[in-house]
Amino acid sequence: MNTEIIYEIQSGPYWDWRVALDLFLGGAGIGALLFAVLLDERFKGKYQRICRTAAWLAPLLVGAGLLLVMLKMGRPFHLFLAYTNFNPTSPLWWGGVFQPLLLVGAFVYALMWRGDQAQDSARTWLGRLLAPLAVIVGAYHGMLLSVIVARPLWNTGPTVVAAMLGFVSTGIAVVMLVHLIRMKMAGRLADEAHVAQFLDNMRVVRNTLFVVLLLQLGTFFLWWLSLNFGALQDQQALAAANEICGPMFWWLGIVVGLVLPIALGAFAVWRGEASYRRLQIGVIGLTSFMILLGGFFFRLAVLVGGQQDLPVNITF
Amino acid sequence: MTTSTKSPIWESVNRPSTRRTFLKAAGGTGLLAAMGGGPLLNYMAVAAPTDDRNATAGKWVASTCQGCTTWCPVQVHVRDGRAISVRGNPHSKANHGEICPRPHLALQQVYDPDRIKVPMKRTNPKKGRAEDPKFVPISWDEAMGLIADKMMELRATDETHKFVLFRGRYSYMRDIIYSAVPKIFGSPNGISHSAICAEAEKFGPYYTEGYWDYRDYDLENTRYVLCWGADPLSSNRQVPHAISAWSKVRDQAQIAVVDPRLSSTAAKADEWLPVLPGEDGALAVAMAHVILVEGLWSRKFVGDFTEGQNLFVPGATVDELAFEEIHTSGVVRWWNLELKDRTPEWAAEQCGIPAEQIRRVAIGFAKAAPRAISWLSPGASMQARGGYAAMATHALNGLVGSTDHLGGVVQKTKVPADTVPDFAAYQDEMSKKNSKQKKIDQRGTLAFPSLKKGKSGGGVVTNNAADAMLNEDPYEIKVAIAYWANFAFSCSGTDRWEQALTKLPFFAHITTHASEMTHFADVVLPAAHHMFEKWGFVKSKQNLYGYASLNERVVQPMWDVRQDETEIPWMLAEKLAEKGFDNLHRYFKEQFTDPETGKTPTNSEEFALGAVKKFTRSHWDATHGDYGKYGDKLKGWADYVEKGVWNSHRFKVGGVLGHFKTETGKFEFYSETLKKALAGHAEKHATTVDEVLKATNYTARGELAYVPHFEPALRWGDEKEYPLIFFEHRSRLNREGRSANCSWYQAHKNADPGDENWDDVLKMNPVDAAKLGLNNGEMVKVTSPIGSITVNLKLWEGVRPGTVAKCYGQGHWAYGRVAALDFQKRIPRGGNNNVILPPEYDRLSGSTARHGGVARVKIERA
Amino acid sequence: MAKKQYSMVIDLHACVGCTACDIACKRENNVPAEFAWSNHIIQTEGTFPDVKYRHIPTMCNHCTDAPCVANCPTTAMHKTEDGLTMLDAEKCIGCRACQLACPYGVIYFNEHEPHQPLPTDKEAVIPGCTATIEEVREKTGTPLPYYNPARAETIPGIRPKGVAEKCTLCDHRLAKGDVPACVEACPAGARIFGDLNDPQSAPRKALNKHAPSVLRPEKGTQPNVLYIRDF
Repeated sequence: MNTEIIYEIQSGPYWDWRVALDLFLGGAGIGALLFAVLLDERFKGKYQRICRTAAWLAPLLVGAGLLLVMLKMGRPFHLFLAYTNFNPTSPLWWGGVFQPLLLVGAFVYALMWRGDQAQDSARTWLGRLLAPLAVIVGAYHGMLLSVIVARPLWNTGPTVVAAMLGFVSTGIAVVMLVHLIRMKMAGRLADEAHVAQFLDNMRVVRNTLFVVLLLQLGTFFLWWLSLNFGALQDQQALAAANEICGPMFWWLGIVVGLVLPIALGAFAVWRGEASYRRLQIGVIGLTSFMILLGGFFFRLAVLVGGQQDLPVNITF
Repeated sequence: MTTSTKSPIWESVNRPSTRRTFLKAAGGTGLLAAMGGGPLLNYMAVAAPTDDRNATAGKWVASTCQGCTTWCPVQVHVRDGRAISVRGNPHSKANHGEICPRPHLALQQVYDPDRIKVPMKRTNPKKGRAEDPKFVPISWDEAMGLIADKMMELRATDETHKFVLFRGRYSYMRDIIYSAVPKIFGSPNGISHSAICAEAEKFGPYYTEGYWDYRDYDLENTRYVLCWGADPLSSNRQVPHAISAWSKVRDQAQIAVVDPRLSSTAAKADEWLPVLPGEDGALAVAMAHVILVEGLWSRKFVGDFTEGQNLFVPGATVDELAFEEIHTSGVVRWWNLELKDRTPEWAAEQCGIPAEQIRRVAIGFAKAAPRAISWLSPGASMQARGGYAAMATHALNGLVGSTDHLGGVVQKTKVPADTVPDFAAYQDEMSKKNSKQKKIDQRGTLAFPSLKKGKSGGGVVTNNAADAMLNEDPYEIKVAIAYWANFAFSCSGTDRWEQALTKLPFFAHITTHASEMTHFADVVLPAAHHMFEKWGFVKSKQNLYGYASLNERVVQPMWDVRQDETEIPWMLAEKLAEKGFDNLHRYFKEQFTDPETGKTPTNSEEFALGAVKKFTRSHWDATHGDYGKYGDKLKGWADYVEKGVWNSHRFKVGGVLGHFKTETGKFEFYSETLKKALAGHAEKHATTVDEVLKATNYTARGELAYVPHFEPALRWGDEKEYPLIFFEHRSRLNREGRSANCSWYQAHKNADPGDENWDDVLKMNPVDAAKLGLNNGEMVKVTSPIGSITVNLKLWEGVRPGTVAKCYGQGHWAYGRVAALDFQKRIPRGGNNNVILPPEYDRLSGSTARHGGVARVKIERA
Repeated sequence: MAKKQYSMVIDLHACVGCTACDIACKRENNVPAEFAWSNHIIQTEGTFPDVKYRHIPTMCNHCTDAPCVANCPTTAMHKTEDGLTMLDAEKCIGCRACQLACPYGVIYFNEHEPHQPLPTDKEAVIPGCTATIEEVREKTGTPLPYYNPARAETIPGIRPKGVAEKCTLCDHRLAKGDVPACVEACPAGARIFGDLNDPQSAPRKALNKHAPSVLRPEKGTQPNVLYIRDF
């Protein structure tokens, strides 16, 4: 039995790499902001340098993401209409309202890290205000795709969880990577003692990252299970996405972005002694880079793959 | 998914890709982005109202759509002097206010920027497809002067018969340009398109029931519709009425469609009989066989055996005296000569339809009868030797008594109209003498009997005119005018037309668009569009109503165009008078006074309008003898213009019974009428009927020639070299091959089952594709013994294995920028079927055999 | 509940797949040729000679629970009192979330200036003897020679670059008591239009006779375009 179905509609993808990059940059920015706020809150200025890096990264990344997504819009400057038209069912509305606010807040917050003072109560309080805002914007990024019922690939619970976890991992990774670069430029990487102190300080971060990556892998697995063994449409959606974005997803998103970092992380835990310090620095750099690379391509693959045309199931 | 490299006109850039699940994934658009222009928000209307036709609020104005041969009464919505919308004319009882998709497309024709806007003249004396004509704009005066000069040269040398007037589509104003102009000038050569249209179809009802015309169908009351290649939901004929009635027909009747392609009607039928192209006759005689053997013929119409027992036993000859006929003649002779051995099993071998389906459909049809329709169409008749298939399929209506019956097939009501006044007094000696010369198309010669209405040479042999011109047989043609015609595209064997037109010393083309024929013209005259810019009228029928529908000038033409059938002859007459031959002009002035105003025409527009009033006077003028006699009584000309349509009384069935205009006065299964016609033709050529049959390529000899019988399909090409049978079909969006330059046509082309938007695909069954190792969507070269075209391949289950099908209407290389992929380089979008279809004929009717799988083809990856 | 619930019941038994609806829609709404507010799905099923062909007209379903409305960040896409799903072009930011959210592929987005010819189309095919698009525009004083000014009574007559567009059930015609253009154009009587909240309406009566189907019912959108019988 042959069945041919023709349905000509406007060709996609409607959302392209710019949206994927916004999801990625915005997510990493939110992660960076939370990184700064939490470290500042928890360790009271112990990690001043790295907090400064994170605080500065946040508005830059969130701003770049916003800029990109606005470039994609037909009439970007009408975005302000979100403030006068209330539509809480739309993640984009949340994004439209809160991402600009977060951007401004994060920028002020970054400015407050300019000085040398280890403790600044105003800064801490601003951080406490910004944290829930960041979570809202993060949720928007997570919900953006998952609420779209028409796209089975996105319309799942694990999509949201994976996105939220992604903020944490990419947020940490971008801060670590940039910070290492800053250390290198400042010549601090040559200072054995400094490196030892840094590695010691970063143990809690490393462990967090390790757990988050494992959770991400688990979430991904759940997501794959729900689609692969789900309704016919879910299976078709997965197959369609796999056809066009499979290699990008599997090799870059999963292997480079999750499996290898986890393996390297395990190595770092296993070989934590002093003689491996230089290698540890390399591992942190490489892992961060891979997480970022994987994080972007994971999103791109899901974004584009989810927009593949699906069979028109005619039930009558 | 599309081969287009050019954009359509009124839009363009982000064309959607195909969402084609299970077959292939969606692709990108790959098209360039357009530049320039600003957004057009809340665009406001501009033009100021001048009269009520230009009122800002808009007004519905009546006219006629001639996009197919249904000729529907329509209304055009005019606002700010622009036509912006179309609908069916609610005053029409025939289409009862419904229209098919075609009239909507006409908006894109009338406003097509590729229309010719001024007269133009060729400046490159060399003709040929490869030559750029280098047309330049000229004045109407210069254009008419050029034509008149050439015509006057013929008068100077007493060769006026070497003038020919080619007519394609027409309104009923036709006889001014087609008849009066050549005959007053002195030529017999009015050559119409009829023989590439449907003359073989008319052959069937004429040689059975003495009716040379299209039939009407009582769909409302029918219980069985058997379509022979007919696709009334798409084309030919009464499309809007058929569409609107179909839901009810499906509810209360069985529908069977004989067509090698799953046509739009076959898709909405109970039975699809995918016959081998050209073998419809075998199927029809087998059905007749079944009806007789099963005793299902109409006792009331045909009669019965005097003893009551059915003696129609397969293989057995029956005594003619044993059967008493009522309204028919020759049923037993038909049985004995043809039907007795035509079992469904025999036919199954021949036509590819299983015997049990033949039996089932024949029995179903006959049991539903007399409320049954055997619907004959060009598909089953415009075939080599197709005249007999037309007879056989129509004879089924006689067999079951469904002709002239409620729910059956009927003739037409009278639509009275006047035509050109007698012009004998305006013919001088030269014109009288030369108009009696032989016509250029060789009609009536031994090999072209063209037996329209029983007369040898009674009908045209359109497509043969090209060969006759090339061979200068019977003589050379020196000056030609063609209007609303594009024979270099629409006649099979297009290369012959290209050669003939290249050879033709002077050719003037009257046309809305540049076309393939225009490419060879010396002078081109821009024509008014029939639906929006022209005054005229047509006669047609649907839904058991005859009608006359006005072509009206709905909007003022945007360009410097003239009405083809009236204004241009007037202007030509003026010019000829200026050059010393004033007979035509005197005739027009003296014989065409406006019946409403009593005024003598002083210019072309007055002449055009006055002539329409004159011809249609019986519809609106109470002083005319036929006023109100056959239908509506319109209250004067203004009322007619307002309503746009004159309706006849509804057809009353049963009136024709006993008055068939055949030799016997009966419905003839043994056609004495055809016998007389054939004998007449044989006598004219001092030979026998068998010799005629031989010369005209039929297989029948002797008595068999006078009954509807099976003739094997005639195909060009050896099966080994050309393994597949090519056949063509019509599009529900074709405005007779003139709509391919409309972006709406291209954007909705997949409305034809199996077709693709923005393309002109060759449809092939996947079974054949697998054998040939070809894939869906690839470019293929389709080669017949006479030519080849290159098109995209479409694999589709709706086409019979062993055959390939393609729609007619595309493959234009000179019709505009959308119809052609590259107008300047003369590269067509798709391929014209007539490049590969050979110039074959059903010679008894003179028809061009465009159907019936006349060409075998080979298909190669391009 | 909306005061009215305009609805289209499409009788596939009556539909012959002629696309008069699609073309009339383009004309009525000045829709670019590459868009199809009124569109169709074509299905060919089976193997020769047992082939079933279906032509299923599609259009905006004016869903009661419209995902395009739920996902619009500025409420540009909204439900009206008459149950229509409408797009306010002034509020549209061109984010295409509606397009992504629609399970039916019936929303279009103007990525480019609409109705623009390519630069190569700006030459006459026969210079001096045929026209250019610009010339026709000048002659008619309109962007499209058959431009329908009535369309501009409720939404932009031609939707500008950067905004989405889709079927409005010809709200500008409904406002005058006319039926949508596709309904008027359908020669088969296959489009049964009216208010579902009115028990006497034509679609309600049709639904009383025949059980309806909708496209992608599992999406829970509650379409107001319903199909009865089979093609």
